[in-house]
This record gives sequence, structure tokens and C-alpha cells, in this order.
Amino acid sequence: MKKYFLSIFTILSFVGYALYERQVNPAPPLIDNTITATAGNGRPGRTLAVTDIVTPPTVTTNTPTPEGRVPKPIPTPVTPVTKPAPTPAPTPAPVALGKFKDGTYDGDIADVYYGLVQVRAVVQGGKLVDVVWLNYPQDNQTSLSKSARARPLLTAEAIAAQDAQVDRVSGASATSGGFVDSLASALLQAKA
Amino acid sequence: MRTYMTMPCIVEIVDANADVKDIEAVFDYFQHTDESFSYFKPTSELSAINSGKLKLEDASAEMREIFALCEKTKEQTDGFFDILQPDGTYNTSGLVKGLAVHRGAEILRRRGYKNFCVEIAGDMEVSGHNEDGTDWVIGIQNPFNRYEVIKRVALTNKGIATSGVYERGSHIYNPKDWTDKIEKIVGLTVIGPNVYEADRFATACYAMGEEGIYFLEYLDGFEGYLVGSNGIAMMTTGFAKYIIT
Repeated sequence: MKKYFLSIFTILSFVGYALYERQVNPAPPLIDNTITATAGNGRPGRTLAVTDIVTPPTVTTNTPTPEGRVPKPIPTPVTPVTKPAPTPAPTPAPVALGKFKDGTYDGDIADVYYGLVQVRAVVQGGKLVDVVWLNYPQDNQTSLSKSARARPLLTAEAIAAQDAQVDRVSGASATSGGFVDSLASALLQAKA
Repeated sequence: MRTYMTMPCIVEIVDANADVKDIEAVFDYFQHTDESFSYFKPTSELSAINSGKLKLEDASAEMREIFALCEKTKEQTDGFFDILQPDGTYNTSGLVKGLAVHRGAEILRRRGYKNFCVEIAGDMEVSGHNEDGTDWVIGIQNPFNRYEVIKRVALTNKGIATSGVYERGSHIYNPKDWTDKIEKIVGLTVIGPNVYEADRFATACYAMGEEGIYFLEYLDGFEGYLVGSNGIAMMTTGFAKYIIT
């Protein structure tokens, strides 16, 4: 568990760092809100196409901040994180509040104690919409549960009725939870 | 060929000269298992443990074995499989059912049968071929319509098990959070080397919710088909090789 939390913390750190690099002012509250939404799901490394289908927008939960409660304006972000050029923004440009510049931003590779990690932040429509693992330790089976690794892109499809010619049907039945009750009565019938 | 079909238990032997005594041996074993591991019957050995009348160390070797297997499964699934209920009792059914079907199949194997199917309530182990001489054709039930099949797979010498919701509502809980109703998914079918393996991972991975399919993706020898409550299904990479189109 500790490592799991560490993973999430690492994501937060990198995304926060990546976005911070793009700002002159300290990261606006939007960053925290957005990332909390991501981490609240408790799952690192999601792949856009798949999660979008199954979990509709879990990472796009940041709602527009109400005008009155918005912090100070944010200067226009200019350069990608990977080339941390000095940000020439002494005069904050009046961009939409709490928004980031669209694009894909890769964080630096970092060595956490169980391996190297790197994340990519995806900003669309001014919002942080995804955080993708670019690098994640795959060789240390004892330190991470398997499902916490980088995500493969799995095939998704809408279910549809098929030819019903089968030998058997596998499904969740009323007895699945129990191996009891209905099974017992069925066995009595079988014996009769 | 001989088929004994008493829902929810089905034993079908394709091999010629199948002896009804062998099928009865399987049913006797099922009955024995049910009498020992029923969570609800006050006379079961499990109930004696749950009521405090029997200590696990004094229980039958079979009971201690089951508890050990449950503990192993809990470790293998990061705690998403857990027989300890919120009230402090133990419910082993998430593992015992699949194991019973698997051992029922083992009984037939030991008696020389090669082509058969043993099923309890939608979880089954298939061996050899079906009556037509081909791989067994198994349909995955539509979680939204029990009379409909949404996928057909061809299997031989494999186990297949499905966890999910049924008419009376969800019956699988997340042991790491008993308030988690696991609402985003409605069915998870797992294909494994035998039905014991398929069933215990179907139970555990269902409790993981949408994450379960990724867990299966990385589990060697297993494939999965996950149906979301939105009607969208996801499958592991190797699942496609079983699909009959």
C-alpha cells in the first residue's frame, strides 16, 4: 500500500511540477482539484481511449471555477516543460482563469526507490484531462501489484446478442454467491 | 453419452459407455462439499467454526486446506478476495464452489474419462471435446438479459467462471470497502486453466471493479471479458483467440 500511495504521490509531484513550470505564479487551485480527481480514482497510468469508454470522464471533473472565488490571473504558459526555458511573463496575460495551455507535457524521468518513473500530462481545452505513465517499473513484482503497472490498451466493444447455439452458458446465477441453498435443493432433486 | 442435468449442477460425459455411478460420485462429492462448507446450514462444519464451536486448528484437514487456499488467494489478489465477513464470520463460497467443480472434473478424469463438462450454476470445467467432436462452445450470458448470449467462446481443457449481478442485485462485495457497491461493472467472465482458478480470480477481480480486467491482463494463463454497467465490454488481449464469430 505504501508504494501504491507513493506512486500516486509521484504522479502528483510530476504533474504539479510540469504545470508549475508553465506558470509564473504558484499553481492555481485548479491543479490541486484536478489532480485530486485523478488520484482519487486511486489508479495510476490510465490510457485515454479505454478509460474514456468505461469510466466516462473521471479525470475531467474540474468544473469552471466561479468568477468570484477565482485566484489571481495566470500568465500564459509558453514553453514545454521538457525544455525549461525561462518564462518571460512579467506581465500576466489575461487568459481564461485557471486554465492551462493545450498540449502534452512530459515530466522528467525520476528515480524513485523502486524504479524509474515518468509521467505525461495532457491538457485539452485548458484542462488537465489525462496523466499517462511513460515509464513505470515493470520488473519488480514484489513492490507493485500487477494491476498498478502501465496500462495496456484493451479492446472495448458494445455488447450485442450473438448466436445462441452453445453447449453451455456461463453467467452469474442466483447461486453463484453461495454454493448453498439452491444447490442443496438441486442435489435433493438429483437424488430423488 | 450421458448427461445428468439438475440445475444448477450439470455433468455431461461425451465418452462412450459412461457409467452413471461415476456421475453419482461427482454429485456425492458436491453434496459432501455443500454440507461441509455451507455458510447458511447450521449443521455445516463452516457454521461450527463461525459459531465458535469449532476452532480452525481442530477442524477437518479439508477445512484447513480451504482456509489456506483462501489466504493464498487473498495474498495473490492484493486483498480483493477475503472470506472474512464484516460480522467476523467466514464465507468460503467464493472459492469452494469453483474448487468443487474442478474436483468433480478430477473425479471423472481419474476414472478415465476424457471428454466431459462439469458445471455448477454457470461455472464449468470442460475437457476434451463436445458431442460434435469440437471444442466446447460456451456462451457468455448477457448480464442485462439472462436469456441472451453476448459472446461465444470455444474451449477445451479449461475452466470458465462468471461473477456478476443477478436478479436480486449485486452479490459480490469489495472486501476492502464493504460500502463499495461495485456499480460500474455488471459481469466478469474469466477463462483459466481450470474452473477453480477461473472462479477465484473472477470473484476477486470483480471486486476490483473496472481494474479487474487489467489485473487479468497481467495474470499468466488467464483471460477475461468484463461487461460495464454502460453496456460496454472490455477483453484481455488473449481473449480474442477463444471467440467464435
